[in-house]
Amino acid sequence: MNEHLLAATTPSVDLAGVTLAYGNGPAVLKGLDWQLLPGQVVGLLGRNGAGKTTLLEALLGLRETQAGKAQVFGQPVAALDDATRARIGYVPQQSDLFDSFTADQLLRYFRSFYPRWNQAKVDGLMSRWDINRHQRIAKLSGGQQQRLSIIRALAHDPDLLVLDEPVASLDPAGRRDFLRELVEQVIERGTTVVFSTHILSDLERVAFHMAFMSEGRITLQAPLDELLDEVRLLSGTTSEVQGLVQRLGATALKRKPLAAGREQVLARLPAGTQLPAGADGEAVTLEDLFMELT
Amino acid sequence: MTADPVAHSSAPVAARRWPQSRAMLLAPWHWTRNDGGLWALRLYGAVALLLLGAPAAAALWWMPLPLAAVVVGVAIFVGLALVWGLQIGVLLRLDHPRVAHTVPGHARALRAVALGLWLGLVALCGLVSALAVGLLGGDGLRTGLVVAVGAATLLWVLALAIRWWWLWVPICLGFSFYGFAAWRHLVVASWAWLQQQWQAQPVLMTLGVLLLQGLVLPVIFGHGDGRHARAYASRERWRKVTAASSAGRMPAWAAYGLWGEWLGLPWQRLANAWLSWVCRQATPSPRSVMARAEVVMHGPHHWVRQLSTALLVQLVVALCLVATTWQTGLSLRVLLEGGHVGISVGLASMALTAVMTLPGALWQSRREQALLVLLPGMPTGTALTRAVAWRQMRQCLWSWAVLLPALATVVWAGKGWTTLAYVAPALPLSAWLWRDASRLRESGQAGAVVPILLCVLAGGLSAFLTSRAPGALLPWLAVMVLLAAGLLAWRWRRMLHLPQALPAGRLG
Amino acid sequence: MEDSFAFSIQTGSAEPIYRQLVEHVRRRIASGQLRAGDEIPSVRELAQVLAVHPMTISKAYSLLEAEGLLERRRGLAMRVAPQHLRAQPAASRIELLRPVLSRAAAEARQLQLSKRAALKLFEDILDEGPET
Repeated sequence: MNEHLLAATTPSVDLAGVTLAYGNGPAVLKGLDWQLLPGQVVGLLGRNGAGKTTLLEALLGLRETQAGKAQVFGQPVAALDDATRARIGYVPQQSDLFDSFTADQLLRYFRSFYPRWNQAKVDGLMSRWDINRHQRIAKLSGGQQQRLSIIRALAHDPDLLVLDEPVASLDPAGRRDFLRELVEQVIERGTTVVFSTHILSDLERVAFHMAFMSEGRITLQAPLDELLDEVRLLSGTTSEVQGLVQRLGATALKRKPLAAGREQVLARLPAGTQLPAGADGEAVTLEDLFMELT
Repeated sequence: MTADPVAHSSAPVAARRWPQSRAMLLAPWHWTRNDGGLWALRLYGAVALLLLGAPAAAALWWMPLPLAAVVVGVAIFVGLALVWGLQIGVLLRLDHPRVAHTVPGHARALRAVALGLWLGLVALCGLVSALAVGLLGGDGLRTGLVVAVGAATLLWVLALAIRWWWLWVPICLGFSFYGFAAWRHLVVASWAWLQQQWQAQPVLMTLGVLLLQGLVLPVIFGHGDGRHARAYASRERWRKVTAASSAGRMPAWAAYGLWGEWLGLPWQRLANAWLSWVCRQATPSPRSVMARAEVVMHGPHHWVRQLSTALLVQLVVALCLVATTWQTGLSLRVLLEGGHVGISVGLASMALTAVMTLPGALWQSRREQALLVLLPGMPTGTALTRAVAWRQMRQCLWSWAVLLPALATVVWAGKGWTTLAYVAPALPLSAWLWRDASRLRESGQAGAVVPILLCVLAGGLSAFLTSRAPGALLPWLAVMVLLAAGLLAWRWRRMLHLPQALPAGRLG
Repeated sequence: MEDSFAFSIQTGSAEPIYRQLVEHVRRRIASGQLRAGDEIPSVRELAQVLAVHPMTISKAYSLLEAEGLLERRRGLAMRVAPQHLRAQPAASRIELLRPVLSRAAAEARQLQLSKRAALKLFEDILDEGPET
């Protein structure tokens, strides 16, 4: 299994300097750089309206960018060839697409395009998630529609999975089921997964890397374990804190000035270093990181 | 949008009523303005003014004063009835079951506004007619009362028919069965009795009628219970569906509710059959891929549905014509000559269905297109733009092909040349199909009116010109064909410089 | 998966999941609930049951292996290393209590409680016995 997860030289997804604005409005993505290596499972975190959906659409070539280059499996996204497209699976935010088809018709329709199709997996998931094959998609509940959308994206065994809030309509049991399915994919095939969601507990379990998006760029991408181990919230007078940061060789991620000459700094310590005794440093949770970094 | 009674709770009751009522009365104006359709409102207003004002002005010019006054009066009344109908429609929309249930005074306010407006319009009609007739030297009071009762009844019936659409059925049946002796006898007898009663006590009768109608009128609004909720839900559904279809976004039959699904079943079966056939015959060739993509891209406007509808319509019309010739003994030629205007309009609209509906279909399916573009085998870039354009033009050409037999029949009947001239401008107009799909925008209800008006005017102009100069028909047709070819060639070449067509509307 | 390995993840905590797993296994072994030779679930199995990224599990297992608590066998499931035949003596077990007590002490200092009061409270809680 580790062979899948070793960093290979060609990134699965490579975005460099991507700038995107809608019409004459302000830029949503401002010179964004991002790379995903094969086998990585990355959680994309950002506030509402930060441009996560826009980023994922630009990544797949569904939106034209004004500047920068975007590549998937080494090919420019504006002109992906058939072999590359057969390796991509996408779950968009709206799950009620193709609502005049029945579930069965939808799967047969998509099957006709893909050279590789795992019918056994589709059948297994359809029965496990209890989706009525002959019911029109418009008549399915929101959760069923979302599950069907996920099955459709997983059915052709993709090497890159792009998920835009795929579990918003699912109850906790459904979400757990979906995460198990995702873990299975990662183990079996070493799929690269990009996962955008607001449900932090899901991301903590299944994503190994976190990418924080703010102001049109990816401000930080790192394994969550490392972040939880290394990032501390330091408080004290400005000079104390600055001195501490310098001594430890830490990187200041965010500064917040407090009253009376005091300051709070979110700092990432180098691997393996400990805070000296007496230093006022708190450990952070993923939610804290989300609030500070996005 | 509903006036908020809580905000004015400190003000006295009477002072509260007026802002509430004013908000309700001005709702249609505000809503249209919010939808950005002010210019549409001006257009409709101008059209209405023309349609009502022209006969009134003509009457004043050509007819003697009493008769002209009647015509003017009728024109004014029709205008008032239109406003009344619009207002009732809006009040019914404001009559939301949740609001009726939870907001204090809202239901009462709605009823008060409806009654107030009705009585106001009735009083206006009565007073104006009484004054006019009085000035002209007749019995002002009596005329005023007659007009008041008549206006009240018509407005009352209109309001009820807007609320309960099925009321139009007995109304229309009542009119159409007038030919039957028994019904006519009954109507005449009851009318005579009513007149007798009214002559005896005009004022009392007027007041009595107004009272009765006034008691029934508030029933059109609901009480916030389950029945109200169901009625409101079905009203909303109809409103959305008619709004969508008038904007060119024909929803599927299923949107009309359960019976819509049942009616749409044959088309659904056809669409299903085509889908399974095309999936079974799938190959990686661009042609097969585009055929499958087309099913999703065009959705409810797919050629299978459109062509089958066109064929069905032609069949029905043909059967009606045959039945009429059989019943009345008139020859087919005479019938076709007589109905040539309607037939021209019908054929032109059939020729232009693809042009009118397909861009809207692309807009509707834009989110599905995001998934389509990621499918292996789909063309990309200019190849995709051209493939989509070619598919759409094919559908347009097939619509033309399907109406050629009908066109030929009309030409054979004799007046066909006018029809040809009317239909001819549809050829160059078809070039309008090839637009930049990536910059499509949502077409509002008003936005769809303009192209239809354009087509009607173009056809009418063309028919008018050729009827004045019959020899010019063939050269005129040739000009249309050449124009169409030129426009199409220009647009085809332009596609090289346009962004990829799908997903539609992303750059709009 | 055997009941002796019951493990539930605390999401939303400042402790990464791999660390939680390491602590959990350490405590189980120390208290004797996991004995030498007991097989533990494979990375794949545990990842699927918990819906956790396999690399997290793998990292935890590597750490435990480095500590000598687990041993890896080729082609077979990992199991508890043979030197831990019985429960650890109390002296090393008590060290496991240190992190929790340090946190409690920090809080007591923040609340400015006296040492005696804090210790009395701890005694009372211990006397109450295990919660049902």
